[in-house]
Amino acid sequence: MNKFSLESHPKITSGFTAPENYFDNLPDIILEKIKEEQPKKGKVISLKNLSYAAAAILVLALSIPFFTSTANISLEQIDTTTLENYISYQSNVSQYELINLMNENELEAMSVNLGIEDQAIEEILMSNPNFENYITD
Amino acid sequence: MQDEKEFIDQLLHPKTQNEAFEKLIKDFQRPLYSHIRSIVLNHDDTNDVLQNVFIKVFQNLKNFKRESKLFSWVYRIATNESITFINQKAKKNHISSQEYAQKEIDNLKAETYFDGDAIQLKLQKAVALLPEKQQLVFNMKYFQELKYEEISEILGTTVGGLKASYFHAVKKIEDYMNAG
Repeated sequence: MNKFSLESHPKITSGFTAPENYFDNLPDIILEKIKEEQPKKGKVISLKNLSYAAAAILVLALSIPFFTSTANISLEQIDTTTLENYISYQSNVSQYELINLMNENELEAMSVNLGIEDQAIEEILMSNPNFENYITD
Repeated sequence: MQDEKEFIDQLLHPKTQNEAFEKLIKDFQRPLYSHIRSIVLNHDDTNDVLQNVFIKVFQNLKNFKRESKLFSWVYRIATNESITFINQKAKKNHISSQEYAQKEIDNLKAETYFDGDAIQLKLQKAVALLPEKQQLVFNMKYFQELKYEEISEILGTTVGGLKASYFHAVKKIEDYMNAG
């Protein structure tokens, strides 16, 4: 079998065809479309008024939540996790200020038993040359 | 050249604009159709892109800089529109534009406006496997028979670069056709 070569092979056409009369009708279709798009320019003023109205409605719509809900939100409605996240990431309240706000029982309830024996702690501290820093902290 | 200057003046003047633009459509519709069709492949999409190209050309006539020829400017718009079109279509289908083109060629067998035989289909498949630039150069040179100088103006590539692209394209196509 001969090797295929584009140069020696008779010209291959793309095979693409268009519908009959396609090119007879296309100019009118396009000119019509262009004409349809042009008159829009004449309506600039009415569109402008419309955009003011749209802006006014938008402002009203956006302010509805302020009038209705914001005023009524109280601390009880916010769930604890949200509050906690806010305090730890968004505010400047320090650890000490938080501790001062709690009473003895609340602090006790928060403490976690790590299950480490006193002796173990002592051993770690003794073997660590920087233990003084841990004690003072 | 003088003719072109006069024609562009007519296109820009409100009084002569419509008539001149109709002439532009008639002059360009067939070559542009072939060019767009070689990229987007089916007739319906070609029709959509072609109409958009003419509308875009009309809307941007006032921005046309006379540094380039009207012919290459219009062709450039058509090239960009066609590539954008298939990239968007491919993205919508979550496939690469190359995979999209292969699928479109498989559909050509059933397309009414394709009268190609087996070798024409195979050639289209081979072309669609080429990198984008080589595809464009090959289509414009082999099918549309444009001159290198014209392609150079449209794609903004040197004639030397285009010849190299065409050479690589032909080599890859022949390899594909010979592979069985």
